[in-house]
Amino acid sequence: MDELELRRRLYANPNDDSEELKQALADDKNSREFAKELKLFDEKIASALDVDVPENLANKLILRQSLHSHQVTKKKSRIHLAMAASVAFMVGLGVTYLNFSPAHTNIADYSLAHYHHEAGSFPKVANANYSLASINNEMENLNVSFIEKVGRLISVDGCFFDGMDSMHLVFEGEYDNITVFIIPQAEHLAFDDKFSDDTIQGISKKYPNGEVIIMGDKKEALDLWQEKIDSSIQWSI
Amino acid sequence: MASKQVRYEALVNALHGDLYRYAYWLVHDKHVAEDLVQETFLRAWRALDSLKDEKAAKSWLITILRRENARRFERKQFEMSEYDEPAIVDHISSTTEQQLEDHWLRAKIAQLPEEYREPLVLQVLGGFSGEEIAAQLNLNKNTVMTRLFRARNQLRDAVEKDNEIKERNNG
Repeated sequence: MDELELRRRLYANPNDDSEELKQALADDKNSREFAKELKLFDEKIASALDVDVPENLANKLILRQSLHSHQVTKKKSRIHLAMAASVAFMVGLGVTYLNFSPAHTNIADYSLAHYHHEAGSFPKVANANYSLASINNEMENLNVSFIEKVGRLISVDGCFFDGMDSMHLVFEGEYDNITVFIIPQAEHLAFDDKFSDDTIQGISKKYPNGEVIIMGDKKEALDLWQEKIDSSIQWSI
Repeated sequence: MASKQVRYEALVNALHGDLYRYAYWLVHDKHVAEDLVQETFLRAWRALDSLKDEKAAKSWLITILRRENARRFERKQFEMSEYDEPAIVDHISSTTEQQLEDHWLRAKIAQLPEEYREPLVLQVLGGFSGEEIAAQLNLNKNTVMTRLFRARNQLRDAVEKDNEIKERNNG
């Protein structure tokens, strides 16, 4: 190793302790002096580089980290809570909606659904036991009554017409049963004066205090039924 | 979680001084250096699980710090290569001779080109080998050794020049 190389190596790293360098230094007293000098100089450099570290920096770093992760967990748990709350809210809303809100938006749909749901559960023949008084008695809650019998009654019962206290009357028709719903004013259901599906037709009429829906086989003369009911029905306040 | 906290605190206690000094020599500003160290340790906390080898912790942190510093430059273009005298000065009055000498040498180190200073700081402060510095700075080892040679050479020249001036003044 020539002197230039030796100096370069020592300048690059005064603490170089490779065998090569040790060998070179062992051979030459001047080089040893130079190496020693450079080591001393490096200590000075080290001392100069060793600037003061701000007091409590370590504590600050630890504090800041714990504050930061605390905030993150707080934020996270807040998000979780908010998510749980909105899920609960939506479930509540959904349940409420399903329970109490009308699944049908108009009279026709609901009437048909109601009709088909109960189709076949009524006898075909009128029950002679129904007197006008007993019919009116059943209908008292709805503040509606008949002045005279409107047909051969098979059944009269209170029912829920899309959540509303209503009357469900079934009469003997010419071809099949005639179903009459007497319902209170239904503001949430759109009014249809005529409706039908594949087998059933229906008509309805609005009164100041409610509506009357008449349904039956497509061949039935529902207008006649409507006239009969119209002349007999009486709404009280 | 608890063990992560323990690891983190151990890391802070063992290495915050070295990291701060490194940052200081990188940016020549106590406050910026402190901010950099804060950011570095915060990132280190988030990524602590990726640190598998505790022996590599120091170079891992320095890598994060250098990246943070680069990011700082992207955010705001400071003129940092200019040597900022007031940032270096620390209470010259009531100082020992050693402190005076340190102060003088600090100013000279600060005046070194950054490409010479950074390997020097990594070698002397960080205790990294030529290979490790080369890996850290993404240079080859010969380049690093040449820069280290030039860094010391320039400092030695500065010292000799200063001694000549002193001798002349004394004589």
